Amino acid sequence: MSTDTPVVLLVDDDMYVREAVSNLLSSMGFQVTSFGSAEEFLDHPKSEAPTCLILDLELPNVSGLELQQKLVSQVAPPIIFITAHGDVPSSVRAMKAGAIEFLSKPLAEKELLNAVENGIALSRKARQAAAELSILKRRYSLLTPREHQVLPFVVAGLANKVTASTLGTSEITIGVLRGRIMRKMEARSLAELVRMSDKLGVVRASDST
Amino acid sequence: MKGTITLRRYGLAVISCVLATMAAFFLDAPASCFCFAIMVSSLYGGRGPGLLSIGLSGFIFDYLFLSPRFHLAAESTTQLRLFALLAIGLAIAILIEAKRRVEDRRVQIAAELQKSQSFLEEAQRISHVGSFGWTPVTNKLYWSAETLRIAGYDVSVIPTLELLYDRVHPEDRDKVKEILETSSQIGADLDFEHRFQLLDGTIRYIHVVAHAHRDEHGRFQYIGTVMDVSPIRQFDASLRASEFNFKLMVDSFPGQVFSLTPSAEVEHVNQEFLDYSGKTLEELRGWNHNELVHPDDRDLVAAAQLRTLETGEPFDLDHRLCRDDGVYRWFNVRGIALSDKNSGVLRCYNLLTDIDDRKKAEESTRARENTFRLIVDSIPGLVCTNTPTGELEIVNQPLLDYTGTTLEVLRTSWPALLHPEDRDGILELWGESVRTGGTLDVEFRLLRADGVYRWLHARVLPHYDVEGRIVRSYGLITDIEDRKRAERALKEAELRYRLVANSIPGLIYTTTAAGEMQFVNQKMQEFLGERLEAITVWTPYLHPDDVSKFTDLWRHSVETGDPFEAECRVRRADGIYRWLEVRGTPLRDADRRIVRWYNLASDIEARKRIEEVLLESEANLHLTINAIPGFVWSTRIDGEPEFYNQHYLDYLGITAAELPDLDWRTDVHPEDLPTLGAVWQSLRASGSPGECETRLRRFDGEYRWLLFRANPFRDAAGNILRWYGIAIDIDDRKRAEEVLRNTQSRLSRATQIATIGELAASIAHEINQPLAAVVSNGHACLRWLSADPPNISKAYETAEMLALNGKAASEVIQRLRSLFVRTTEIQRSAIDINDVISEALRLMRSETAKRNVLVKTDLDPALSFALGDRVQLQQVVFNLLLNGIEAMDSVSDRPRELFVRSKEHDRRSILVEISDSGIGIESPEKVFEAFFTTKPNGMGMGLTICRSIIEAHNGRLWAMPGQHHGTTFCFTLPVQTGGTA
Repeated sequence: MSTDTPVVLLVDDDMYVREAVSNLLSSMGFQVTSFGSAEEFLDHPKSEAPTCLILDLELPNVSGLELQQKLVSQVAPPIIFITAHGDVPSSVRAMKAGAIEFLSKPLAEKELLNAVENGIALSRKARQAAAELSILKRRYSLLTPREHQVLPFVVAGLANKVTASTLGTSEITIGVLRGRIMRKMEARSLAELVRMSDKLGVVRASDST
Repeated sequence: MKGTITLRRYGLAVISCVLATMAAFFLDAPASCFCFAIMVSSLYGGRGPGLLSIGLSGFIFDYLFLSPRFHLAAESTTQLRLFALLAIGLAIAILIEAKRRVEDRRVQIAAELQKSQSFLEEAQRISHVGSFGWTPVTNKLYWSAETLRIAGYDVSVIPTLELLYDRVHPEDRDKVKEILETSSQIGADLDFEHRFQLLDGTIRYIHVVAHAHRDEHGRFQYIGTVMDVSPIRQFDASLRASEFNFKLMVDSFPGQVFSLTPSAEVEHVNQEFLDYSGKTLEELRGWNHNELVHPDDRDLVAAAQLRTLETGEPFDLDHRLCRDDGVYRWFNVRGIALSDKNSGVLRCYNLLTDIDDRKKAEESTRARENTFRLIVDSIPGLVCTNTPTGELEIVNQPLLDYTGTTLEVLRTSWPALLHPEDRDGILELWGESVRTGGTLDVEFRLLRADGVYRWLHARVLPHYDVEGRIVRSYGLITDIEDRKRAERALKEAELRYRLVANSIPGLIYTTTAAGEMQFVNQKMQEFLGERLEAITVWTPYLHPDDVSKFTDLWRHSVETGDPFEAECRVRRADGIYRWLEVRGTPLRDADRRIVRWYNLASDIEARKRIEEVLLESEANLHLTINAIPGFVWSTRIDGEPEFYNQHYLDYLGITAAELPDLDWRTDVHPEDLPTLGAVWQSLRASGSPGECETRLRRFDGEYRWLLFRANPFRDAAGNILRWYGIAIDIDDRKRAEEVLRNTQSRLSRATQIATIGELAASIAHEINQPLAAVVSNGHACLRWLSADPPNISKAYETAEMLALNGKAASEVIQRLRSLFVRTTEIQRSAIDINDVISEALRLMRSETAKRNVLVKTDLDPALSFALGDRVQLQQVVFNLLLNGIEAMDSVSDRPRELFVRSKEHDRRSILVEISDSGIGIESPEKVFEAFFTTKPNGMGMGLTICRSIIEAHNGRLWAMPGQHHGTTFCFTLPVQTGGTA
């Protein structure tokens, strides 16, 4: 299985519903992995592929909402809740906690398809973002401490002269460092470096002058 | 003679030479003439004369004809002529000699041949064997003289085939022709027999034997003999005839005959024997004929036969032989051995004669004799026969046993055994009977072997022959001692009874069978104040009111023979009427005819008085009992009704008279009869008082509930005499109870429905789940089908899943329906309580999820089955679970946990605990009270009904505080005995 094939994860304790939904998703062309309980799901190794999680609200022992809580801390796949008799409080809680859709059984085919496609798209996007970030992080890690020190100034758009004076070094040194940073971060322009820094969460230095 | 012949021969030589000399002078051919002379001499004179003529010829020729003539010496030229003559002469002599010799030999052989032919002919004539030769191709036939003679032809006749056929017996002619024709074609040897019929009609049996061989031309030629075998054939024929006659004789012999070889094997058997045994001669030969003999006789027969075969002595014995139908019959078998001096026994001839009928007759005679003897000896009497002169002849064994003597002693001294008192009389009667030939019929005493005299009765009957003379008399003596004694005793008894009758303090009288007064005892005479003779009929002494009743009863008894019983008032001697009870019994003789009536009249005046008082008191009691507003009854000890009071009778719609025929069981409701019967049975068995509720049919057919109470009534000794009881109509009460029960049931139903209402959301969820699956699978199926290309196998799988989903939905509905089943009766069956709990939890799952309740279970999988009503138990479990869930509604500081546990309580019951972590209850017992509720919309009936259900199941339901928080509800149920989960 290619790591890029999207996978739909399905958790429902009712065997018939599980099989039926799984079958429906299969017929839509999705790769489906289904689980009978929250515990089973948690025991399953995480997939690298774009994933969407369909979660039954009423699960034995660990309920769907509880499972959602647990997943918040991790890089969670987009969650679609399904329920046989959804009540307003539950759905509010679920949506608040980041669920992308709240569907009631019996599932409307179109809604389900849209939701899952939406979820997978989100997941794919999230994964892509995460992948980019990790590249940036690797590049960032190549920077020396001095360069780390300088980067915020660069992305803040401060002149080398200002930076040099703030850091107490020469303007030439800053220029050299700036060049190294650009090279190490593989940034073709300052604007790109700025975007990278944003993604890395580098706090831009403020003009203290 | 011989000498003369020799001389003649030599003379011939000389003459011939002389003649030759003379001829030579005339003919002038001396050599030829001398040669001729030599030839003649040799030819007719033989060798000697031949040589002589040669010599003479040589001499004469030399002397007379050769020059110098008349000189013996010859010129050399003529010498050659001489020698030539001599040589030719010698040659002629030799030739002729040789010829002569051959001739002599031929003559000799011919003579010998002649001789041998005459021998042959003689031999043929003597042996009646002729010979013949036949060449079929040329039809040339040669017959010897004997052959011709046999054929009845003259010796001179030249035989031809026509002559042969002429002689052949007309019946054999075709056969002979055929044989000759066929044989001659292939050259087969001949060997056959036929008959000649001569002209005088004589038949000759001819045996022809011939061998065929080929002659020099390659033609078949038969050389053979013809043998006249008539004597042999005639002998054979006569022998056969005699044998046939003999066999016919043996076979038609009316008895079984067979012969045995010395080795005891069956050789010949006649037809009779074969018919009897149903076997063939071959079968009989193959096995020992003794197997036909009855097994009991077999050894005997075999031994007898063996002895005869060894010694040659005849035997004669009887044995049984098996007939073809398996029946054994008696036979007399006689065996005679045929033997010669040298080789011993050659054969054993056996003749069997059927003596079965005779044997059987003998046996039956013997059996009859035995039977007769046995009869005589087993007659329970003493039997004797006597000669016409009065001598004892034969007595039977019992008589000898009785007297203990022998026949001889009895013959001489039987009168000595008579009782001295009877002796003279008996002897006199005996003498008279012998004289007159009359029947003797006497009773007398005879001394028994043990020295006791016993009374005997003898009856002697003479037996006459055809001429009216007494041949013998037969006597039968019977022991009548017992009868005698009985007679004596009877006489004594009668005297005693009369005495008794007169001394009895009761009024006794007898009447004849027709009812006439016969005897009246002393007491009765005194009572009536009359003499015996004056009392002829009863009626004058009877109270006028009783006369007709009394006479009716009396007439009835006299007519039917039924015992007589009457109560009547009779006037005493002092003129006062007193109550008497008269009872009469008939005396019957051996033929059941009434001889006499014995009657006893007793004074019952006092009893009558008491009876009257009693009757009055009883009437009072009756009134009381009948006035009691309940059913009063009594039964006999066997349980059959004796008395029912009027209320009871009215209820049943019968009268008191019908009571004895009443079968109380018919009115009891069929459903109650077994219970009532059992209770009644146990009461009677234990003898203790008791009660039972039952439905009893009223006269109008309506069944009403009655409470029966029974109490035994005992005599002083504690024996139950009868049962007294009452029955109370409790029908109205029962109906009220039923109404109450129905109300309760309806109430229970209402709570059940309320419970279900509370669970509606849960139920909806349960149904929704499989339906959701149906919808999803439906979509999926359509998608699989509309894919390009359509995925048929997936669509097929999906359709299968659809079917399963539908079934699941149907099962949910099925489960739900069981909750709505309307039952009022408890239907007990084996229930797995774990099942009930699981099902309830499943139906309530969304309820627990909604209320955030965690359900934990600990169900013992090895739990025994409980006995109960599934729906009702479900109701209880639902109620308790729902109570638990609701009790935790206000809990927020700790997990909402519902814990269900099932386990074995003790050996006979199981325990279910349902614990919540709710707020708990203050007084655990109070919750079971009706209309107690903590819920805003509760009826307060749930737990009350739960408890009533569990108690109806013989279980227990209680509540107790939980371990940490909340409440634990427990209930027990008895397990189904005889089966475990």
